[in-house]
Amino acid sequence: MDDVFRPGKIIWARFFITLLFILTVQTIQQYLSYVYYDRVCNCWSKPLDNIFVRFAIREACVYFNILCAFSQLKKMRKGEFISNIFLYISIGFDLLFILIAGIRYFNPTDYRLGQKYTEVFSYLNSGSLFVFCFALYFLTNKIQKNN
Amino acid sequence: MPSFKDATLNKDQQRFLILAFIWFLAWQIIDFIAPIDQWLTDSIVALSRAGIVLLFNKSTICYRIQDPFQGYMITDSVASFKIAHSCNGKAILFLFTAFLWAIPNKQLSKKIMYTLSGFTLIFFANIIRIITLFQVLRNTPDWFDFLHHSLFQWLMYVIILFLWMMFLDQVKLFGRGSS
Repeated sequence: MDDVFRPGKIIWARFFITLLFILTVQTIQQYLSYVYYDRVCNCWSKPLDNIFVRFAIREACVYFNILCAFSQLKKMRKGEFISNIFLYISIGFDLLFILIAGIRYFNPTDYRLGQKYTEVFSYLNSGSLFVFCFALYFLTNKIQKNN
Repeated sequence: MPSFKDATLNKDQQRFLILAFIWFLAWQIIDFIAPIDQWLTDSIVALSRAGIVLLFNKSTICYRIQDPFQGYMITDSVASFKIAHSCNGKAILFLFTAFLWAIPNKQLSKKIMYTLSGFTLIFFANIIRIITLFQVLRNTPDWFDFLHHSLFQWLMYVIILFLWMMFLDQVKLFGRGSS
């Protein structure tokens, strides 16, 4: 893969393609939910009827996206700094996601918990953290210029 | 695991990261106390329905999906469309403001101005997204998933990134931005 950044030049196409790639993975994951969820009986069909299989698919999508974004951010100037921050934030969110999933397993009817579960998953899986860290690059530059 | 050994974090950068985290946490607490989701979803549903009437001259019926509350169902004779809390753009608004308010050495008035204009822009972009999706569902339902999960989300991020960069004086609407 090419760099997201070249000296003094940002390859915006690479940034947008990475974002689109992340969103495509998200679409595939949601497509699976669409196909395997029976809206008539409000239940999952095989093999997604097992809660752990669904959780494993979500985790796989999340880490696939994290890896993709991490590799792209790493190629930026000062990439180590930003990609590390991205990785730490992502892992932090994932731990929160696992924690909420665990509580939800024992308390599946709590609606607020369900909402937080979706919200945390959307931060991880939607590319918003990637955009956040990409913007962080400009901020870092700005701060260093000011100093 | 990677380390921060090679990366030099100066005070401003550290301050930014801590403040961004605090802002994000504050939003979560506000979200827990105040019915932000309810207000946002209600407003978006009402304005989207008004927009559909205004732009396409189509009246819709709106159902509230209860027990537990799952959102609203907007329907007409051709298509049915569910708008849940996850569609109201709250997560994006949280991230947008957390970044903006954590930036050090910026004027308070500029932050307030960008927060208000950013909120308005994201809010109305979301309404346009919902109106467009409803129209796509009525006419070309095959495109719905791609537009819903990929293209429109992508566009929302472009808007946010553009606002952040404008705030950091990296882009200017009129004239050249700094490199």
